[in-house]
Amino acid sequence: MSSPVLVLKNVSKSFDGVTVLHSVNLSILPGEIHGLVGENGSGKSTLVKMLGGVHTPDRGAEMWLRNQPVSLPVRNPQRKGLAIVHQDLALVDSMSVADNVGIATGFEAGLAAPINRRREYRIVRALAEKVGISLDPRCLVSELSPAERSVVAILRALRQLGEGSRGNVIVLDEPTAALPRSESVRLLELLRRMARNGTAVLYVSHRMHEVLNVCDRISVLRSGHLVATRDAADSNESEIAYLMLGYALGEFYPEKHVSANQTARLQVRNLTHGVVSDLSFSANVGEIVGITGLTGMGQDNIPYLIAGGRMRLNGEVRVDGSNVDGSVGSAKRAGIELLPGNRQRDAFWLGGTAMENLTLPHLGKLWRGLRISSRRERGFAESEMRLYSVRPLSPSLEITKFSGGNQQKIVLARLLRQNPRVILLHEPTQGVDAGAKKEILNLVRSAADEGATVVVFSSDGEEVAQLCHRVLIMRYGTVSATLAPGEVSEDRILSLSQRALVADARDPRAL
Amino acid sequence: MRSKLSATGPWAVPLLLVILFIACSIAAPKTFASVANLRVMIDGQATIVLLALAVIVPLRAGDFDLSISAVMILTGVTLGVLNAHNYPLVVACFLAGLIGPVVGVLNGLLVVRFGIDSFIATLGTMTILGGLASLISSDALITSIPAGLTGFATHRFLGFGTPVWAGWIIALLLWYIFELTPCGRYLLFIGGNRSAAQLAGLRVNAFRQGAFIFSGTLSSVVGLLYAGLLGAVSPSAGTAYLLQPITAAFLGASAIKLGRFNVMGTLVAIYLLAVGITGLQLLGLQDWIAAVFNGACLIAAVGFTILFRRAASK
Repeated sequence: MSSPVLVLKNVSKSFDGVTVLHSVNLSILPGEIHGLVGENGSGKSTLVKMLGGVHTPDRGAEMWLRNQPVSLPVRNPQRKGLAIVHQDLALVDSMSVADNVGIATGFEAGLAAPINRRREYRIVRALAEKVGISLDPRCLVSELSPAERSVVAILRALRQLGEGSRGNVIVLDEPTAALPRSESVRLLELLRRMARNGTAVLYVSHRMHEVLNVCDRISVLRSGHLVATRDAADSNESEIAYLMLGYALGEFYPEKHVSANQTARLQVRNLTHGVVSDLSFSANVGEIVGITGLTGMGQDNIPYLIAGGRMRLNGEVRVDGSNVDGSVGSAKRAGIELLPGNRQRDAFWLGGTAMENLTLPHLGKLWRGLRISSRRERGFAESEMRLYSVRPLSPSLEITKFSGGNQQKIVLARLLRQNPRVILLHEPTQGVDAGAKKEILNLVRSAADEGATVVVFSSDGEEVAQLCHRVLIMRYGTVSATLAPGEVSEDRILSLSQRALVADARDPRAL
Repeated sequence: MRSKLSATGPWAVPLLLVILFIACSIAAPKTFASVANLRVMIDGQATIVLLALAVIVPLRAGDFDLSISAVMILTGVTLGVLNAHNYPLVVACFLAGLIGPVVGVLNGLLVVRFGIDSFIATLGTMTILGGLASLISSDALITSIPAGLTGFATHRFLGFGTPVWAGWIIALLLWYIFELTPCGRYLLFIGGNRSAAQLAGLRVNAFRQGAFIFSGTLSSVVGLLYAGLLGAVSPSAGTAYLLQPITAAFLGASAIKLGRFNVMGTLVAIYLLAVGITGLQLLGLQDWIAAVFNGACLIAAVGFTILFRRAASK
């Protein structure tokens, strides 16, 4: 066996006395896809940031790249053959795909030399083709879906490394978190191709089945300890879950209770705007409806057209018979609450504490004697955070210090506490680890059991299949298929989504 | 490490004020550490305090208002001109005082409805208002300030003039709104993440518009007090009063409540600058030190805040 391309020895990292990594040892072989799994807060991101030179490891840590010792903190990792795609992608919204990809290598031109646009476009198209995705290099990143954005970030890393160069390492931190399974499959194929060429991949992900399918070996982090490294072929989902959590996860998805109440609560008729055209559906009291499809089919816009203040060209939305005009105010009056897919951008004030973000719509209730009672506010935040098992249980900690799963629980707590009649969830478990995902889905299920109408807009076919009573599959802005209760399964969802694609293979819009 | 830093971080600027005050008192015991000097320092900052309070409201909601000092000057000039045309005091004050709310509405329309960047839109209104002040004053020093107003503005209560008390009372009011009411929290959310505030159901546009009307109205009130205090208004004095309040607002955001525009931090910042500059001048340095000290303090304070944060997260 050839010698490892990347070796980490005795890597520890503590922040203010709290140790988040305990002498981690890790070695990655050339041509290997190495999975790194662990719950949020287990230290995965810290490890990735250390590789990228963001964090300095504690004394005693050692690192080798291609048998060369690397001085810590790491500087210019990509020049040493180590490229990293961070979870937050680091894209410039107002620039084009080509600019975002090209900027990583300085467009391979002098500082004052003109950028050859045609060459840039060609390079990006060629890179995209290899991933099996057609992406217009002229498109602005701000117009892309979450899935397309991660593709851009990956293309950039690929360009940094150059293609097929042996002995390179690419680190992907949750690259498929935003991708529907059908698309992530293509990405995983690309990873395999790269691995065959000798590039090592460190693949950080929550999606256990993906990790098991694509990786050669899997390392598991739990509370900062690297508890095990397993050959993927000899392992299975429950073993990995057990190693991650330290206990068995049990039945992962909550049981579906079918509501006896067949009253239609949310009615959407002829909704039209942008990609979405002439969409109609309804959802009953206590029902969970899933709306899914391939990326770019319009399902990502619907929640914002119903309740996010985004203008719509045409269409009617009714809740219990009363009209909702699409503004946030009228949606709130009708009892619609929206959980945005991008919580960093659309749900939080990132400069604030968990408490301030949690109590925002509840400040009226905390008003006592001409002021917000800070004691009541703290008490409210603490009891909510305990109820939704947010960790750490410190309301005055900045929101950015919480992991993705815990941030999502905070948004959900804020939302559910307003006793909504209709809950619109956009990618509710994106970037959330297995444990928190289970908790969040349970909360959604019990809200529906208590009579709320839930509509889930998700690209995670598995989640939709397990959670929803009824599933609508979108194709070019309208419903192409409906799965009734009893027909819902992940395979059906995938094949129907794919059929939409196959039927329109010649359509240039097909992603 | 971090607990120590985050404990001292918010109090670095107030601490600096105390240290500087003691140092100056020791260095110049006869001149600096006298009641008269203290009074002069506080009186001298009254206009800056009021303008800084005006500017932190839109800043907290995420918008610049660069037109504050231009509103102040135009109000003063208009008052003088109206008085020269024999308008009664109350009518003149009322009409001149209308300038602020009107400009606030206008700024709000430009920024909130049309979506022009607040820095650019208010830079524009500031320039226009400066031109109007020149126009109606024919570029001459306006000295026709009504005696009644002069009497009111220079009246002393417990040793301090009306503008000082006005500043402190408004500061207290704003502190209450910022720290203890939902309104203050909403402004923070709007300034911190407009799209999240919108989706959370806050009436973002109304708050931003309101913030501009507040800053405009307060600037007009300052204009009346300023005219009364000095008894004369120079139509070109506007820019001299623009940078100090904004400097103080940003310096204040690195004190007491880190990263947030807050009232107490802003007050501390203003007095820190005043003490530093007065002290240095009493030690024999010339007027140029004021500008250098202002700028250096701003960079140092904001720089230290960033260092604190970096140390806490690295």
